[in-house]
Amino acid sequence: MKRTIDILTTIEGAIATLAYSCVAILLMGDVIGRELFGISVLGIKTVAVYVAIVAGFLGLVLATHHNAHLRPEIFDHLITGRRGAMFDRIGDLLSGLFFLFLAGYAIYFVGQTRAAGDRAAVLYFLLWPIQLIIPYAFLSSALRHFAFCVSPILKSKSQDR
Amino acid sequence: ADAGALRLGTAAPEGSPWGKFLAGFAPKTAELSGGELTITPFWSQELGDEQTMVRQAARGRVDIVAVSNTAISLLVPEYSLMSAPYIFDSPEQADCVYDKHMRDAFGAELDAAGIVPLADFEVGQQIIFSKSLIKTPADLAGTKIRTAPTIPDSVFMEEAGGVAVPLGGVDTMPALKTGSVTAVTWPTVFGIAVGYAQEAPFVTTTNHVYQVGLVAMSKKTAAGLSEQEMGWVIEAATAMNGLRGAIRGAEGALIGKIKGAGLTVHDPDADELAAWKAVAPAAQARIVSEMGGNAAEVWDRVQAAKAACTN
Amino acid sequence: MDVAGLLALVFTCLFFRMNAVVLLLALVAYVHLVWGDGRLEYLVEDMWISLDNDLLLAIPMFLIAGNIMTRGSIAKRLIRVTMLATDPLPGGMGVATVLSCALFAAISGSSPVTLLAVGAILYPALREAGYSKRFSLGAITSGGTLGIVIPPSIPLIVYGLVTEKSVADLFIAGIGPGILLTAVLAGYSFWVNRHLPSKSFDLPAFVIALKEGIWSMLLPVILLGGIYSGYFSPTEAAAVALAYGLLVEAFIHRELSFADFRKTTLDTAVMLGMLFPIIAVALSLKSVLTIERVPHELAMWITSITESKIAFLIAVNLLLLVIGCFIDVISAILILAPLLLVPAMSYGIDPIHFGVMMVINLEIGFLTPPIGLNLFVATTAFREKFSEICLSVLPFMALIVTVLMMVTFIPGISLWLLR
Ligand code: NA
Ligand code: NA
Repeated sequence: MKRTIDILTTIEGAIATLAYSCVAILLMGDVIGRELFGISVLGIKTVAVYVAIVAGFLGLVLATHHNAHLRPEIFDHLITGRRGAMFDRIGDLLSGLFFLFLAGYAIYFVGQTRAAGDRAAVLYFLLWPIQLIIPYAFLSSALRHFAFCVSPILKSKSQDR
Repeated sequence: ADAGALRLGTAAPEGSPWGKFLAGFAPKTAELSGGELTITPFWSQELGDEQTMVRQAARGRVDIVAVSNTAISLLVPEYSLMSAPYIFDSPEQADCVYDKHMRDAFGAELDAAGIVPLADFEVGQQIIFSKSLIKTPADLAGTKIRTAPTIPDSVFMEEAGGVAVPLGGVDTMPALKTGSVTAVTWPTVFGIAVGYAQEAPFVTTTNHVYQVGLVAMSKKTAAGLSEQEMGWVIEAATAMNGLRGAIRGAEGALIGKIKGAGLTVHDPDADELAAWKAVAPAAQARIVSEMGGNAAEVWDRVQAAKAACTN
Repeated sequence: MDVAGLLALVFTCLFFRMNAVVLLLALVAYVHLVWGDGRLEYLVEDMWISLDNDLLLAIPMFLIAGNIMTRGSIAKRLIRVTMLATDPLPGGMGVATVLSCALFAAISGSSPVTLLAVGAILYPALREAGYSKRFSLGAITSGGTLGIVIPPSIPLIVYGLVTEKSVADLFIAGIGPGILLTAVLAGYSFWVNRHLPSKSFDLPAFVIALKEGIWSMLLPVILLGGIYSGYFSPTEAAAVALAYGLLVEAFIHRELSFADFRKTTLDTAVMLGMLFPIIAVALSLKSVLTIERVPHELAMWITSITESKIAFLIAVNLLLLVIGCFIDVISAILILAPLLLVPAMSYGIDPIHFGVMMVINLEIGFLTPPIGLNLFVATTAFREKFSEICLSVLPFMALIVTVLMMVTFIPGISLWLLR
C-alpha cells in the first residue's frame, strides 16, 4: 500500500509542479507577446486559471499526504498515550469517510455541469473534464486518511516536514 | 428556499438604468400574485459575476438572472454571434429581429441550456474610448485596444488593424490608467459611467456592436411553478418594458454630457462609417469559423431573421 | 438545536484530531444544510467558483516567487541591506524586520507571502540575536500584513473593481498609510528592544551589501514601475516577479538549481493546498450569508442609527473588525464595499480614502482568530502553537488599530499625494 501511495504522490506532485510552471509560462508569454511583439492570444488567462485549479486541488491532496494541514490541538492533552493514538486513527477514519461523502457530492456536481454543458469563458471548451479533479482530489485525500487509519506509521508528524 | 421566494441576480447596480428597470419587476410580481410569489433582487454581482450567475441559473440555484449577451454565450456559445460587428443594417432591423425572431433563432439552444427567456435586457451600442482620436480603422493600426474577452470582439478589433488586448472588467481601468492599453471598446452607458472617457477622452461612436442580454428564468424554477404562477412572472416581465428606450436615452444624454465636459466625441461621417463597416464581412466570416460547432448554422438562422425584417 | 449540532460537530472534529480543512469543510457543509438551501453540491460548486478567477492567479505566482527568492538569495540580500543600515540602533534587527517587510511588501501583493519571505530568514536570525520569541513572532507575523497596504495590493484592486474607482489612485493613496504603519511598527520594535546592544555602522560592509543587493533592490522598482508605466497588469506583475526572481537567482546570483526550483514549487503547491480550501470555504460561507442577506441588514442597520459622520466611521470600523475575524479580506470587500460606500459618500467621505481605510481595517483580520491567514501561515512556517502566535501579535495589533484611527480621521494621510 505504501508503495502505491508513494507512486501516486510522486505523480500528483509532478503534475502540480508542471501545472504551476505552465501558469507562469502562460502569463509571461502573454506579457512578452503583447509588449515585445504586439500580439495577444485570446484566452491565455482562462487556460492559466484552469491549470492553476488542477494544481490547487492536487495541492490539497499533497498537503493531506504530508500531514501539512493545520490542526487545532486544543483537546490533545485530554487524551494521550495509546488512547490518544486510537483517537487519531478514528479521526482519520472519520476524515476519510467525510472526504468520501464529499467526493459523492463532487461527482454529482460534475454530472450536473456536464449535463448543463458548462463552458469556459472566451474559448468555450467544456469544463466538466477539468472539474473531475475535484472528486479525484477528495477520493485521493480519503485514500490517504484511510491509509493513515490502517497504518499510522505512514502519517508524518507535522513537525517533520 | 421556499418555492414562492425567487432570487434574481444581476451585475447591474441598483441605481443604474438597468437597476431602475428591474426594480419594478419584484413589486409587480408580488402585486399580480397577491404576495404569493416574491422576487428578491441581488444587485452588483452580490451573487457572483455574470458567468457564475448564468451557470447557477442553469442549475436552479439562482431563479432569475438579468445578464449580458456575453454571459448568455457561456450557456449557448453561438449567442455570442449576436455580438458580431455591424450585424444589423439599421436600429429598426435590430429591434425587429430581437422582438420577433430571437425565439426562433435561439429557442431550442436556450431550452437545452436550461433557461427560459423572460425579457430582453438591453446593454446598448458599443463604442471606442481612446487616448488619441481614432476616426477610421487606419487610425487604429497598432493601437493596443482593450476588447471583451470574447471571440467576436477581439476578432473585429484585430481585423480592423488594432492589437486586441482581451481584458475583463477588473483589469481594464488599471490597464488604461497605466497605458498598457491606449484604447478601450465598451458599451456606451457602462463605459461612460465607469469613467473610461476621463482616462481616454477621445470617444468614437462607431456603434459597431449592438448588445442585448436576457432576463431569464431557470428552467428548474419554471418547472416548479404552476401555470398561473408562471403567467404572473411573464406578465410582470412583459410590463417591465422601456429599457430599450431608457438605454438609448441614456446613451444620448451621456454622450451629450461628456461633450459638454469638453471631451472629443467623434461621430463618424458616412465615409468613415463605411470604412469601419468594410472590415465587418471578413471579421464575421472569421468569427463564424473560429467559433466552430454549429456556428455556421446559427449564423444562417440569424441571417434569415434579418431577411424577414428587411421588408 | 441547530447551534447544538454545530457545536457537536466542532467538538467531534477537535476530539478526534481532524485537521482544519476537514473541520472547516464540515462546518460550512453544516451551514449549507441547516441555514442554506440544504444542498451540499453547492459547497463543491462554491469551491470551484472561488478558484475560477484570474485575480487569484497572482497568489500562486507571488507565493512561488517569494519562496524562490527566499530559497535563493534575493530576500537574503534585501534583508542584509536593511540589517546593516539599522545596526547602529539598539534593537536594530527588530527595526530591520519591519523595514524588510515593508520593502518586500512593495514587491508582493499579498500578506502571507511577505510574512514567509522575511520570516524564513529573520525569524532564526532574531532568535539567535537574543530577541524574545514573542517579539520575533509578533513582528514578522504583523509586519507581513504590510503586504496589502503598500502597493501593489490585491485587495485594493478588488475595491476599485467593485466600487468603480481608480485602482491607480487607490495604490497612490496606500503609500502614505503604508509609510506611517511601517514607521509606527519600526518605532515600537526599536522601543521594546532598546536594551539590546547596538553595533557600529559598518560602511564598507553596507556598500558591499548594497552592491550585492542591487538586483534584489531593483525588483520593487521593476514591479511598481512596470505596473505604473503600463507594461503589465497587477496580476501579470506576479508572473513577472517570478520570472525575474528565477532569472536573477539562476543566472546572476547562481544560487538556484533546477532541483531547487522543483522542490520549491512542490513545497508551494503543498502550501497552496493548505491555503486554498480556507479561501474557498470562506467564499462559500460568504455566498450563504449573502443569500440570507446578512450583510445587507447589517449595513442598513448601521445607517439607520446615526447621522454623525464620526459615529458612522467608528461603527463601520467596529463592524469591519468583527467581520474581519471571520471572513477573508477579499470577500469582505466584495460584499461590504458596495454596501457601505453609498452611506459613506452621503456622509461626505472620499471613496478612495474609504477604500484605504477598509483595507487597513481588514488587514487586522489577518491577525485575528478564528480565520486569520497570517496566523495560520505563521503557525506552519515557524512551527509554533496557534495560541502563541495569537498572543505575539497583540501589541502590534494595538498599534495597527491606532494607525487605523489616524487614517480614518485624518483623510490627508491617504489623500495627500492625490492633491
Ligand atoms: Na504590497
Ligand atoms: Na481574521
